[in-house]
Amino acid sequence: MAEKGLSEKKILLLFALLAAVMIAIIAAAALLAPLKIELGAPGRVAVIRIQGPLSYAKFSLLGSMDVSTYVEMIDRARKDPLVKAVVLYVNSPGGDVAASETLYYAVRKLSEEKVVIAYIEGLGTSGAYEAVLPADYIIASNSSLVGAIGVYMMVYNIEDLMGKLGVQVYTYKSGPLKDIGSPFRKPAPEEEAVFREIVNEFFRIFKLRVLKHRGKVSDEVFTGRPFTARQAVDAGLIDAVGTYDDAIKKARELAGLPESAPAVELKPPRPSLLEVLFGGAASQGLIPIPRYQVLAMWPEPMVTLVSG
Amino acid sequence: MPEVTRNLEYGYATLALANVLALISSTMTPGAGPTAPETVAPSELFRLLGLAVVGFLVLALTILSWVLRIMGWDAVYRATGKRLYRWTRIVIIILPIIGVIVMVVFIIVGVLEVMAAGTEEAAAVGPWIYGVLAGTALIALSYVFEGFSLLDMSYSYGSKLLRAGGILLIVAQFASIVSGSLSAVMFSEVLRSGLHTWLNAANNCLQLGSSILVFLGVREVKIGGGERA
Repeated sequence: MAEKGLSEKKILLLFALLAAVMIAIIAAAALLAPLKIELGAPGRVAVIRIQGPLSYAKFSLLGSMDVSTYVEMIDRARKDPLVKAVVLYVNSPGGDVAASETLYYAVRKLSEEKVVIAYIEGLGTSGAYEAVLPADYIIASNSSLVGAIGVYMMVYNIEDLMGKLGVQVYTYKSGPLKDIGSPFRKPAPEEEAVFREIVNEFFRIFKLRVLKHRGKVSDEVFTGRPFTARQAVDAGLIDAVGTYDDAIKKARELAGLPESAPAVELKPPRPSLLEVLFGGAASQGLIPIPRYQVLAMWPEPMVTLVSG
Repeated sequence: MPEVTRNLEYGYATLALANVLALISSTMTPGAGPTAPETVAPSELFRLLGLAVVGFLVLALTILSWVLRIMGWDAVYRATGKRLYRWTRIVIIILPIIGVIVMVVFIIVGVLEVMAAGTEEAAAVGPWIYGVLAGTALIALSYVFEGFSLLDMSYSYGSKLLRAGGILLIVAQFASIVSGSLSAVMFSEVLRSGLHTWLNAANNCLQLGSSILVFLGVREVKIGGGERA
């Protein structure tokens, strides 16, 4: 014979209570997660590769990435509580003023929260050098070129070519400088003055940043010349000549991490097939046009060592 | 004439078997995480294949047990006419389905985040893991409701084994949520220390204990005028 069981109301109440407790446990876990680093979690070193010209247009087949991809990776490292130090592995001649500056701000924000080491292998010049200025320590490999601090502008003039082709271009403008930089005619003296002003202003900002982050540097660095790694140390542009391992070691040291702390390379998001084939220009519906204000080494040096 | 609690019995026996296999698989779990080697040795491959086969069996048995328990509670409700058992049947149908959907959605989100992040750990700090945990909690809650119904049945038909089984079933669900939350908070530390293996094993032991107790308890219960010999 069946006895009387539990009351349904009691069961439903208890169930609701237990469900609430379960939800509370999960919510507490979600809230505690950002604090886990404080609970003694071991940290790690994140490695971000910055390679090729810095720009806002993706040239995937040429091996260069949109600067916003670098910024996204830097932000990811900044927000990851497990990442205590970041090594920026740089091999770039520089690039657009705007792209270089965007990267500079991202690195500056990162260095306010984490240890940042810049490791230059190959090229760390102009805009690329500017971008890593906020790093706590800059190391370059023996065969690297560093510096080339400066700004240049290029304006193409295809007036003669168009004339040979029998093409004439008429421009109707609201003001005398509205079509400044037009490739269909020679620049006027007042246009040249404007260009010089722009170049000088960008250079002034660049120079101020170098002085702010590097302190006392040789005056020669502002001539625009590139330096070998050893010369760059003497000029005050970088802190040391070393290897990639030295950079990781330094990152661990400055972040107070043990030697066993892993170094994890952050990978960019995988591009779609369309992006792989056509780069960002395909997704933006634009054909990449050379920018006027450039912080880059130009022309990019080709140094070949021939033995024999 | 089939006994009223026959399907419920079979359901918990199947669940116990699934728990045994899950316990075995928890001891076979490789040392996952960022320190795991990228290439898999042939011996490791056999272990992973074994793990996949056991995992598939656990899934199949759990689904079979789920179907049997739904049929079991339906039979119990028809024999007793008690609303609680009808609710139990509804709850154990609906909550696991919603839970699995939630889990699958967040697992897909997690996989996409891992692909974008490049490393498992970079993405592990993302909120998707709590979505998966919420799905698990919904499934666990269906067991908790079932545990209360088993407790009710134990009081109604005077089975101490069933009472113990019901309580252990509820405790086991809580343990799984607590250990899941702990793993989510201390993701990398748990993986590196191998603690996840112990947590899984402990959970499986609790689940196994509760399934066996409920199975034995249900066998004791006589519903509908003592149809058991």
